[in-house]
Amino acid sequence: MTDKSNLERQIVDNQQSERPVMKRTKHINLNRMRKGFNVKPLALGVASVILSGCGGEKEDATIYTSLEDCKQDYPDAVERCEAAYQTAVDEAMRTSPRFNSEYDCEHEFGPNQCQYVNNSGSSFFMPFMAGYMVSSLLSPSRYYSQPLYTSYSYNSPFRSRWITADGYVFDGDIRKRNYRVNKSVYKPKPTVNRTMKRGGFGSSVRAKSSWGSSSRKGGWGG
Amino acid sequence: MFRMPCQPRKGWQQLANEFGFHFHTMYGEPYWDESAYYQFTLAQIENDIEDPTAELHQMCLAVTEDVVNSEQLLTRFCIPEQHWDLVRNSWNERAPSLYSRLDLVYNGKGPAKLLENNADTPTSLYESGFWQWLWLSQNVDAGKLALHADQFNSLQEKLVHRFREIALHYNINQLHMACCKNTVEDRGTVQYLQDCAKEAGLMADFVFIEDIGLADTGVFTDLKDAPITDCFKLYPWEFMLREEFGDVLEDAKVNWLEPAWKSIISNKALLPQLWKKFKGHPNLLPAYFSDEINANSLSGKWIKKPLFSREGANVSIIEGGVESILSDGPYGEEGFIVQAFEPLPVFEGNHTLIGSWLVDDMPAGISVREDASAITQDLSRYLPHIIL
Repeated sequence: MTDKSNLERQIVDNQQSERPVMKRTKHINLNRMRKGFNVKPLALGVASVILSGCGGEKEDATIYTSLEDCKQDYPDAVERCEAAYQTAVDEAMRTSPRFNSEYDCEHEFGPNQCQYVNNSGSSFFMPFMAGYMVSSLLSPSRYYSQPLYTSYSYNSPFRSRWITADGYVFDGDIRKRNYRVNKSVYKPKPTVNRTMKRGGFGSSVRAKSSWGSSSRKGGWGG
Repeated sequence: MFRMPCQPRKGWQQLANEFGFHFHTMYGEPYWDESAYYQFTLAQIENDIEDPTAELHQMCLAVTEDVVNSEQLLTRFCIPEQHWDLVRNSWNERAPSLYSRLDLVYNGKGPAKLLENNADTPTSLYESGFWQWLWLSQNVDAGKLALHADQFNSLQEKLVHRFREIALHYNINQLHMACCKNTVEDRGTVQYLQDCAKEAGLMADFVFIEDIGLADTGVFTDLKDAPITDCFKLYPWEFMLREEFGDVLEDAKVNWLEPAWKSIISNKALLPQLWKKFKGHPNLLPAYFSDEINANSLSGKWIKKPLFSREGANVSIIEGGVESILSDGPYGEEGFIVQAFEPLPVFEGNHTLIGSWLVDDMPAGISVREDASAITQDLSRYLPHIIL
């Protein structure tokens, strides 16, 4: 992070003057801990599999800011560009950061960078997709595509950076368009054709929570 | 160890909002309380809490080893026979654990006494690992606390590190995290663990316990029908083993956090078993299965608790052979234990309990909670601490 908040600078300064043996965590990335983005019950989609994890095989990924951008790179695979773009747009609708007010959204992303969405009963503000990241576009098995955002707000640590829906910030500023990202080398996932039933866990909660409503704790932690 | 009144930070509620700490006030009562803090010496922390915590944990693991290898003890611990293999296998494969919290009675001198081991679903993690850390940092920066004031709290650092180890162990870059609906505190705890996992480079998808599905292929699914292969669940094993999906647990082949062997170590049957194995250990309180002793023969004060219980429910006190109920509740059908009564120390009229955290088997910090009541800890408040 180049633009640290005052708070974080102070804490870093303080940590540097600390005695060598500390009984507490040395450093916490405060930007990571901020919840400017609302807590989303459903986290990000499969597309960003390629971003995280350390080591492993790398592959090239390119950021496009429009459909035309992609078509210029792949004049012979226009349909794939269109599909990748659509995947990103769909993902954006599903996983983008959501805000209750336009003010909160613009605070993070800048003036006129947010749209109002009224989607099957829930309404919120979300930032416009600023680009999408594509890799293995010509791969016969599967390609990756996911929406990216950037901020025009002076208040935001994401200003002029590429950022994913879950807050992963790429190095370099938004002029950088090519990255090496981790290829997925992890344990393969089992197949699911369809979910047969839900609700097989949680019945003890229903049975026991009729009890002790005066208790402050609604949960099952202790 | 003493209690020191102090000025709350100006605007800390707004800061809490910014960082997503949404349960600092619950049911109209303050929960996070920074109008005072507890101060410890380094010797108190290291000699009286940290070292005994590591040792107590090893003792608990030794008991777990005994239980796993004895059908009689598995029965005693009320592990359903159907799931003995699940529990045994998770232990024999050394399925990695994430964290736990020992509740200790400690007044600043003498040995801390183990009240119980929250080894399966401990909460108050966020306020311990992050929020009290931030409180200390800001107060030191503001010159309100000495520059060399420290805190016994390496929780976040150790959690992130532990997630890296677990990712390598299972060869994963993604896992699920789950808790029940309608509880802002549990959701906040899980959100914190999601943040720690992310910091370790893992993707952490959330699903509510009640929304977990079962696929045609026998695996569990989230709401997007994605398979759940590795999952942190803030939900007790004693419930999971007995619910409908308990029957398909084995086939679903999930790597659970905490692993199934935590059903033993989080069980209150652990307490009498610890006393049997390590009788007289300075950090243990005498404890027995209630059907092994005659209540009338007990001298002094004893606390009777169910094998499984939450929120201090179904607790009684036995004094001079007479039992009086302290709290009612839905638990107890699996049986009870009795434990020698050890009063919590009182500071400014508050009963103070130390929670001593472990990440895997490493002591990782403490939390301090105060309650108006001596035993039940139902309306406790969380106070920060320092080492000076």
